[in-house]
Amino acid sequence: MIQLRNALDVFTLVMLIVTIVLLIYTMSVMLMQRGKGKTPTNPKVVTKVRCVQNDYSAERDFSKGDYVGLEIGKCPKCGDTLKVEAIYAVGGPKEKDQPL
Amino acid sequence: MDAGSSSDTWYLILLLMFAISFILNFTDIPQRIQLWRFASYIRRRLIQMDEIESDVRRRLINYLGKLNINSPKDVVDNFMNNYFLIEPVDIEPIDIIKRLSHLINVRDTNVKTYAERYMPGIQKSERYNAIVALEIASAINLVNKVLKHYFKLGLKNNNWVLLMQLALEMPNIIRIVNSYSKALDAFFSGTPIGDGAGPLLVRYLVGNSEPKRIAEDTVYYETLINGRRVYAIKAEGPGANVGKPGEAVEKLVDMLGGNVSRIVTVDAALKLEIEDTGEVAEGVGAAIGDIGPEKIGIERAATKYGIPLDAVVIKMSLEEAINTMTKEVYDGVLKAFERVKNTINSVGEGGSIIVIGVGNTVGVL
Repeated sequence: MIQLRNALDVFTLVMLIVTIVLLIYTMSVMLMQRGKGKTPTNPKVVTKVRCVQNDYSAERDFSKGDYVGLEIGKCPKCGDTLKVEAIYAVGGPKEKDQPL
Repeated sequence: MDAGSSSDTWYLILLLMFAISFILNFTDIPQRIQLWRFASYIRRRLIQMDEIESDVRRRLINYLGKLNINSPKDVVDNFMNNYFLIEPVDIEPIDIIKRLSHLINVRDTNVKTYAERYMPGIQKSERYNAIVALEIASAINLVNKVLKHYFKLGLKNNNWVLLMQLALEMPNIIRIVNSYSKALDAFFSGTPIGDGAGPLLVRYLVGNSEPKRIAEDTVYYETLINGRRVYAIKAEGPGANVGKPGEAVEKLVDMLGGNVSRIVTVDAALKLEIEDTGEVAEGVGAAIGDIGPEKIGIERAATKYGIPLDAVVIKMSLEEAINTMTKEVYDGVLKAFERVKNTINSVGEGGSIIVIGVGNTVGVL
């Protein structure tokens, strides 16, 4: 009887440990997935403008209708043409690098 | 008595283990369980696909509505499923490029005619952006349908291997489809995309030179840089458009009587996972992700007159290539610009060089 109880106890103990390990694993996977599901920050699109004389440049938020090469006015320094030089997104979500 | 009970328990446990081992090894039950698991996983992902597809349709219909297009829903619905292209016969390779090129041109014309009919009075650049947006929605619709087709096929034939393959590929497919869905915003707002790295570089190269049309939706610029004559080709912007760089190079090289020292192609290239965005690499050949006609056009023009053909590529991921250009890609364009300038300077003074900015010129004049 004692032997049976001991045998069952060992068996129960092993099963208990396996169950706990599996529970921890499942919960950690769930937590990791919840972390992945966070809404990524939207990148900000900026428009870089530059004077054709190259004496002035500035960055501002992109506005619809902007395109690279668009003349958007006069340079505040020399009065020559101010053009859109570049449009790009900054601060978007970064892809997680997988270590080798 | 005690010892007998103990051995009975162990006997039962062993019997149970043997039975489980038998079931796992000699029946289809594990496969059935896997089939059930994979099917339930794929079902959840397909729901996600449906959500992405309906979101894309909703955003596209809103966008077309804002362009004052009548019944935008019908415009979207009529575009889906139509305008497919059947590739030409390839067991008879004679003239295959000519035939493929012809079919591509016919399809392009049909799509443009459709857009002109349903989007009258809209600026050309806006119309081209809308065409690309329709193409994206149509591609997402097709991917969703193909996925459902294989899912149903797998269930119908109890093909757990097919379902397993589908389940394993689903995260990657969803990631790509999500990228295409996000890319719509770039075309709605008309911002340059990563694939526009080539045209952007040409824009920087040509300064204030005036464009001259050389092929459909394609222009070239002529400028002098450090005493070298530079002919730069790009698609006509700022609408979403890739132009016909191959045809343009063939015409331009013939026009110059083959008197060209080098041809340089600049394009965005998909990076390997180990590479960084914005890395620039140089090589030989035509840097262009074309299915045939344009690439062969460049190669033929270079080969006909024995002109060295160089390639400069700016590395980026697929997501970066089809979405609004990131700062990293932009920095890559500036690096590539310096490399191209070095190549121009390597040509003898008084020489001529052709630079082709390959890619979609959305947001770049």
